Amino acid sequence: MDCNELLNTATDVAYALLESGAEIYRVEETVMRIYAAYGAREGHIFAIPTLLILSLQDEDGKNLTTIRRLGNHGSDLARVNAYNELCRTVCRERPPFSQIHQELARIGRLPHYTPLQQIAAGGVVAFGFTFLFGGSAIDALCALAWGVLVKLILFLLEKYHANSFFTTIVASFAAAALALTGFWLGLGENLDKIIIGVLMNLVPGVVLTNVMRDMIAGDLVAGLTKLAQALITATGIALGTGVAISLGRVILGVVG
Amino acid sequence: MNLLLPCVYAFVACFAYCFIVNIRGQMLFWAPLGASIGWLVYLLCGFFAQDLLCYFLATVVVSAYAELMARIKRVPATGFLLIGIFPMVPGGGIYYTMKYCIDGDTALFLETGIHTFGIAGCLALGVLVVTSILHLAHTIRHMRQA
Repeated sequence: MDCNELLNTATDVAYALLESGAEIYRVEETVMRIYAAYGAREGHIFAIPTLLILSLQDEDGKNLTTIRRLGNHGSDLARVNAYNELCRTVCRERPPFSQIHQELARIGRLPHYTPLQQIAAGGVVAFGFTFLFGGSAIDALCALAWGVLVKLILFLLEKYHANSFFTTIVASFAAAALALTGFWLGLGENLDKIIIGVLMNLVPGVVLTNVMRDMIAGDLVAGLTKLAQALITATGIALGTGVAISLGRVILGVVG
Repeated sequence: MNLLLPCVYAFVACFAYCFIVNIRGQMLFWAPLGASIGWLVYLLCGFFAQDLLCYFLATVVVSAYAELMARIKRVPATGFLLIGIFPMVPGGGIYYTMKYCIDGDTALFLETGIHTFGIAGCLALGVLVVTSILHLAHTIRHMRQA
């Protein structure tokens, strides 16, 4: 067995999983299972959301280690599921490494929803939550429009790799500013419901769930990193909306 | 109707959110359904329990649902959990906390802020309880077999 090849394959699988937003324990467990399936003597992995360290000892007792850095990454459940399924097959059937790489490449090519679909979805998210939190039909329709625009702004900012704190501030400022201006023009009945509905597009729900799952699994470092991210996002939302509302009071005289 | 409609709204909103985290296939139905069930439990608990307890109980149900569906569909529970909890993420809490801060109403600001953290804590606790119990059951079963 080629230990170097095994290490590389395990690293690729781990990287793919982590990049799709899988929990830390899933990444680490997967690697340990792959090591075990291919009969590695001694192997370890350490993962946090932005870094992977894998090591492996070959038959002669020589140590191999690899480190891989990750940038910011979102969540892609379809890929997490597919990689998870792949790992099961790998551990059961122990296919040659080239086949694993082919499978990884295939999963990597799985489709995303198109930007247009995602922008529309952003509008519907705002629409649904405005209703859910007690807004009227008119409120929900306003939220739909503002949600689409906010999602569009998010897309543009992400396209040019603006940092995520800044992105959140700008997007939540836009959410509140649009809702306020609309309200001032007579669109909508409950300003707060509209704003909250649109803001649901920005709240760190995904990150918060990941924090819990990482912390419960005992991956405290990873959990704390993500918790910081969740708190920063929440602060960004409060700042952006706060500025918009303060300005709205001064300029438009709308008290939301 | 007062209970049913909000669940439909939760389903619609969470269905749309599935497009943002790239959930596909059958899960497009089952994941938002978890959110509806969670919200129904939240509303039902509201009749007899205090707000934070509602969040806790609803999260327990959502996590149990997520773990159950994960075993039936043989996919990670994360997707179900993520979407199921989403309506309870305190977006409103963040907004009102900030609003009271701007109003200069320190008492309400602190109260809402702490309540918002409380909600987040309840969500975490709910997930923790279910996951830990299942993990314990799993370990015990394995030890018996060994």
